[in-house]
Amino acid sequence: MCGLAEAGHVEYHPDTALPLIVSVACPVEEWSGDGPKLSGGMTIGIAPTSRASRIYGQHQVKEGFNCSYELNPAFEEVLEARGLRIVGRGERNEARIVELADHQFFIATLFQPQLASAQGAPHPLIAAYLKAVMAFRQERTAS
Amino acid sequence: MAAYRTLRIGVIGDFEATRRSHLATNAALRHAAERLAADLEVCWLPTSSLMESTDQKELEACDGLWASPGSPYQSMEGALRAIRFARERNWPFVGT
Repeated sequence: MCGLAEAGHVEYHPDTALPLIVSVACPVEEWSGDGPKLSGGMTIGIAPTSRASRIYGQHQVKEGFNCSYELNPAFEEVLEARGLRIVGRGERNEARIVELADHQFFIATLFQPQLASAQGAPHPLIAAYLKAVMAFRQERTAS
Repeated sequence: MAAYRTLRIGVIGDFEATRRSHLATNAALRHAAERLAADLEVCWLPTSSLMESTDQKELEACDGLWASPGSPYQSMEGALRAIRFARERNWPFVGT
């Protein structure tokens, strides 16, 4: 499992805690043209008082399941201790959405919201991200 | 066109036109930009160049960073550097 391979890094390189999430490989990368997109959906429970809950506006959301790698649960405590909150969990309680405390906007997902985006119906996470980018840009150019 | 509103998104990753997730990343950013009436410039930042760069100017020139799907990256170290930049310098970041 990808998580296990990266786990060693977390122990002696705390700064690389992040790659545990962003480096997960999704082997189901290509599928034929316009056929059915994903092999099933998953329900994610969103933690209250999280940025994710403010973005989604609900505490249960459905996202496409397209990845067979997960965050090793043994390392959740280490990551939480370093400010990386697990704010979205799947049906087996596996981590699906993480966000950094003390950061203007830092979210990582173990699914690909971009695959569920459509013209006229952007994915809420991506819209929220872009809003944060806009605000940051305005802040930067104002000073 | 209000030039000051052109947002630059730096996508950390090695773009491949055959990867559906990469095309979807670009498209999803466009969908969101349309909703927010923002002008967008999406720049893919090859991970090996992120590894080789000696300063952070390229990252600082971006208004937001996105770690793309579709690993393995050509340079994991390059990708990690950029993600660390986002984390430590408080840059808007999403990893999918």
